[in-house]
Amino acid sequence: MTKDRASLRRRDVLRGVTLGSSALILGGCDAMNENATFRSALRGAEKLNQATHRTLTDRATLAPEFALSDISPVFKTNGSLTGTSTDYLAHLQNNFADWRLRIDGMVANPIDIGLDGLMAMPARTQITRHDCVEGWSAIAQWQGTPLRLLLRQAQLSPRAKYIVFHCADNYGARPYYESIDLIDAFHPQTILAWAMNGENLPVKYGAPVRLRVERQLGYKHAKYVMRIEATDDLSKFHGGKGGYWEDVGDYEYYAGI
Amino acid sequence: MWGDIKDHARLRFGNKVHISNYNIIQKFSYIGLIFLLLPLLILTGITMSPAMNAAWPWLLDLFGGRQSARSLHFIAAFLLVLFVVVHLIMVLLSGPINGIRSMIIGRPMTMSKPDRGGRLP
Repeated sequence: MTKDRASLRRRDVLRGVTLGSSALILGGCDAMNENATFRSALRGAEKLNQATHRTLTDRATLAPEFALSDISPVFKTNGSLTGTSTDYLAHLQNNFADWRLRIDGMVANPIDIGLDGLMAMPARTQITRHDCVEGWSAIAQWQGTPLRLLLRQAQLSPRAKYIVFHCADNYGARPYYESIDLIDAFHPQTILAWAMNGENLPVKYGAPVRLRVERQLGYKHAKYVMRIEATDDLSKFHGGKGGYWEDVGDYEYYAGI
Repeated sequence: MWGDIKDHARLRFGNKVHISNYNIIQKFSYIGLIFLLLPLLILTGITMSPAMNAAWPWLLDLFGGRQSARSLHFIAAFLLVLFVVVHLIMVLLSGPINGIRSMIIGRPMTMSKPDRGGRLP
């Protein structure tokens, strides 16, 4: 009888210790997050993800497109609601009449092209779903110039590996910027959109042009694009990880999830 | 089966339980977890990927869109947490040391300590 009682107490102690130590393990999880080796191991998952996605999709496999009746009645605005650089604000006053998109970097033929020029080029219209990393989605119709047409016109160098988009909006002291690799740059649905839902792209959604990269999350779809630069080395730009959120928030570079 | 559920909730496991067989509640729980909940969790997770929507658009048809998949994903995740909590409680209450030892050496718990007079759960 007494033997049972002792073992009962022992068992309770064991339970208490197990529950208590599992609480400590949670604290330990945070310590693991601080460790650089652990974090780089986690980073490996991004490469695995990208490789898996690229295996499962053709280069031209399209993101789903929708009907006009699917367009979201409310499309949440997110990020900056306007460009903030002095240049941008001047262009905004002028209705972007003197705005020119510059395409340079590793190209043989740098281009300066205005909104009229972009609108005169062959355009693609697509009704697609914008997927934010925050979890929400919204469907809109976008019309714009396929990026690959501009890159061909600029004669992209064979040494180039990435396309960087320089934007006119600042987050605090740092400008927003983003970049994509060449598979996404030449994808049929990758366009510089200058119209949304049948009207000229509104300022809060990124006027005069914003990027659409339909197989990736929303933060890659840079707004207020001022300059497109072809490069082979992302470490030359700002924080070196290829985009504002990648630099500042440890977001993934490849955002297909 | 309702009788089993009531006994379980009252933590009345019975003295002569043959522990190497799973009871009906365990069977339903594990079947539900492995064949329903986990596949749902994984597939709804994949459905939220814009790249995988291009590769496997049938997932969107299956779950009624990205937002529906997201809701289902959260519900399934919550149920998974619930399972883990109940599972850990049950493990602790059924003698975890003996249980883990049985899994390693392959002998069920009732056989290992006969002189305790069937006092095990």
